[in-house]
Amino acid sequence: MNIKKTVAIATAVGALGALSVPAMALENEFHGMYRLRGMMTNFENAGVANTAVVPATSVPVVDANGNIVVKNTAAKAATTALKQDARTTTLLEQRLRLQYTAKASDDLKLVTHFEVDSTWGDAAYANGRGVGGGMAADSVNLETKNVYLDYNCPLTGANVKVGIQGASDTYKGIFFTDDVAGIFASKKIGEVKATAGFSRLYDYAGAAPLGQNKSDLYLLDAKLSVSKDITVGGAYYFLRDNQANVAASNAINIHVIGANAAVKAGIVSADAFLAYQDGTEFTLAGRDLSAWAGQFAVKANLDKAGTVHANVLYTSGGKATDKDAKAWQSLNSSSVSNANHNVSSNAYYDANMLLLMRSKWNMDSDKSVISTTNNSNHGVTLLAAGYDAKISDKLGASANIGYAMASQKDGADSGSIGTELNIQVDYKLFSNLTASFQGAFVVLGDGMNDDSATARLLAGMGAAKSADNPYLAGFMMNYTF
Amino acid sequence: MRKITVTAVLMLLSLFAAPAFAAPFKVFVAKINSTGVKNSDEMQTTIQTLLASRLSSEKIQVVEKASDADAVIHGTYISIGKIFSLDAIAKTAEGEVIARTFVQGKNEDELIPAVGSLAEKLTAELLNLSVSMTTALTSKKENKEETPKTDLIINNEIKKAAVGEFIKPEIPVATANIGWLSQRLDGASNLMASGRKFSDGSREMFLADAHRLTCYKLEQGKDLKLVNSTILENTEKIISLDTMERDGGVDIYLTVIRSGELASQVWFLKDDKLTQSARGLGYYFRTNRINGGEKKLYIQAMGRTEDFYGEVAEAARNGADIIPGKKIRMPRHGNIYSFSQFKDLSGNVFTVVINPDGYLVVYDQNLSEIWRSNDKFGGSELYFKKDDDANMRITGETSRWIFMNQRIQITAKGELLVGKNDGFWVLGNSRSYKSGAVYCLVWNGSSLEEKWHTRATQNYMPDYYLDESENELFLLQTVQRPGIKTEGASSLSIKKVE
Repeated sequence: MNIKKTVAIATAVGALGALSVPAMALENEFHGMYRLRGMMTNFENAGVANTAVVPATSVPVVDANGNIVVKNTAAKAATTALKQDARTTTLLEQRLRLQYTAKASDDLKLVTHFEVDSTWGDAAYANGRGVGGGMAADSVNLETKNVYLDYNCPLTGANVKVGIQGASDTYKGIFFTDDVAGIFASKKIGEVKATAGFSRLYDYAGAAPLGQNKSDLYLLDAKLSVSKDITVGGAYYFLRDNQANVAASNAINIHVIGANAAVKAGIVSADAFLAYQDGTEFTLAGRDLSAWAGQFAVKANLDKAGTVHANVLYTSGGKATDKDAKAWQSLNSSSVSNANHNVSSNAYYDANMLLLMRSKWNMDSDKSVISTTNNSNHGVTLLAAGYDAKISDKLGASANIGYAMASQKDGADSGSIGTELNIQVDYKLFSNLTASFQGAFVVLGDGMNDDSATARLLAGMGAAKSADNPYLAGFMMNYTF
Repeated sequence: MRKITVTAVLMLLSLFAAPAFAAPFKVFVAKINSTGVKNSDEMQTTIQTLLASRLSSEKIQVVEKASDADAVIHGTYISIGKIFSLDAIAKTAEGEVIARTFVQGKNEDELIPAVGSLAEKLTAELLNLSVSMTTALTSKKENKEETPKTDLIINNEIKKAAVGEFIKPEIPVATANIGWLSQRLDGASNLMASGRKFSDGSREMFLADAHRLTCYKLEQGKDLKLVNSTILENTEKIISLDTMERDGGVDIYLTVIRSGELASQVWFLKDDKLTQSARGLGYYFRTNRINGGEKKLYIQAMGRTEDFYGEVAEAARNGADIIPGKKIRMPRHGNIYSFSQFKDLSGNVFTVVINPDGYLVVYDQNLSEIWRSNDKFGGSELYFKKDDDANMRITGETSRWIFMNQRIQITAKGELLVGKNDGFWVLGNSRSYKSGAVYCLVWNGSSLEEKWHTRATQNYMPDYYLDESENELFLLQTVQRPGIKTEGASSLSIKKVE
């Protein structure tokens, strides 16, 4: 090897070294989750999530259930999920989530979050999300949940998150909770933490966005820590949904304004919120929106006896004949891959229900008797209570009971939707791996057995006459890191 | 062509060096200290004789008096369970350490071969040194006025990595390998604190695992003696253990998390009796010698949304009443467990924080960052959880994990001590460390400079503590992790810092 070559190689190595210096400062952070859930049920169906009825019209503004269905470009068939003589099925689903964060410094990081969902036996050699559990597997099924920059602005000191990210309202998700593309900036000033944000939910031109017909969400949120045990806050959201073939002047405008508070006193902690919705140009021309929701939750820490908690949720309902629309509006998204699905982008996980309301443990089988807090314009009145016990260092158990009724029964004889009783036993095999057994049973209310099929739509998905009570028995392995 | 030239020069140099082997290097083997073995006196003599025998060769002469020797060999034999370590250092008459080495074995059957290996290693180091010393001596004789720079470089080059219990990267300073190791202790303890010291040299030590507080008495050279113990409820998890002497006894502050909320407890130990003074307190507790000063009690609260709310404050306790005192402003990432303060020679106070990524960050009096370490420190498997339903959709968990980190201890001299664990599996919230060490750093006016660090432990090191008055470093190790059928086990060791 001659000197020139040696010098050239040394220079190249030096240059590579210099280039790699910034990379040396990068922190690679990984988090993830694997969950396997096996179910024996007469209710859940993998891949048939929160089916909602949508009229066969090409330009729906709000679906027949009153849900604001963003990007609702195709007509969707009505399905009835609560059936008589409902067959018992067994399902095994799994979910992998991988989060990689490239942290350049305390002030700058890129967060990415990926997901692979499969139901055992579903399909192999397939291209698309939510499959790959069939014999031979080998599917292209990686989903990108989040890609966003998280940085602290050197000029303002505000924390900014920009990109596709998980976001939720301050009302425990009853208006929206989902992954969205947007920019959210928050800053702590004294004891106040203020957040401002914008999100482009949909561009109705689809894969070739034009920036004309779109659904945008704006938000302002502030929370004051009065003391270590008390916080109070206020929030304002503005949704402007200008769908295709709808003049800008007829776009949906929804304003949501509300207040929230949390307090701890001794062994008791509680939180509450109240929110009001105001809007224009709703399902009927010239009809305005005037709806509200409220929630109260309390938890008592009973020392070695465990924890008891209770929740009350109310979202207003309305009639089609009302002068102003009075039903609380909640956001849904629309699945491109399955035109028969509207996926709920709102929830009230705090109720700890497994069948009656959306369950926090659900994956592809994300089905519930009441799938949205709008609940087909009937609204929801929910009472729930639960008890959590820690029997040993590794063994824990919880039991919950919940009763739900329509806030507006809209002509039905009864507004009662059902009562759920569920239990869950958790055993910690390792610090990161928990095995759980779940059981849930719902006694459907009188409203779900009304003679009128319309009345039986008290819960969005509807029910057949004398439908079987839904039940679920299952186990779960949950590994997180 | 160049290669040939370089080779020729090296060969010539080796020829010049050859005469140095002519005179044997004289060594004296001192008695070998032994720890953790039965028949300690007998073992000391046996290993001393064996080592002397194995060292003796044409090039090394073992002499009978230290005064006749060019170097004196000091050694230690430490046995931990079945594993043993033989360490040796060679010192000149002036006390300068000129060679260090060690060997390890898995059981006593490997002891005799290990002595042979140790002798081989020592011989190699001493002969290398003999060459350089002779060369230096020759050069000095030839030209007394000029310092032979090349010899100094050689001398530096042949210095092996220090292998004593305390590794000092800059100027090797004599260290002692006097150590003590406890018996195997039931339960994987996460935390350690010291109590009172008695006139007979004994002292109290406290260990805590997730649900259990155990008080031991430590008498010199003996096993830890169980004094008292209490077990908390399954719903309670201990995340911090601190002590404070009071009224002839010891207040034991346990920071406890119950259902995601603080429910801390205070216990009192006197006359070997353990009594509960208060429970259900909504504070994090820590006793700390900020700036290396008086030991004080500090508190911080938990907020509705923040894990650590508000400032850290000095506190006094009256029964179950906690009376907050002077507040200390926290810099970024600073909380009751991650921060400490030290003073420089001019008396300026600096705040140091170990940030969530494990870097040490130093802040000035205005809490502006002025220095950040390039190396990571800390690392702990201890955590607590808080309800986090709001992020359930993203994390897949109903709770979020908040990891405790290694604490920073400041000595009266202004030195900073911090633990450091290395892991074979540290991925997100899944942590499994394999070894730990304690680092001593000193502020040099512009950055923290390493003074020494201990040799890595064989196991995960959950906690450490330096007793400044005795210069003794306590290291807590997890020798067996808890599993489905076992509660795990720990051991406690003491290293003398010199």
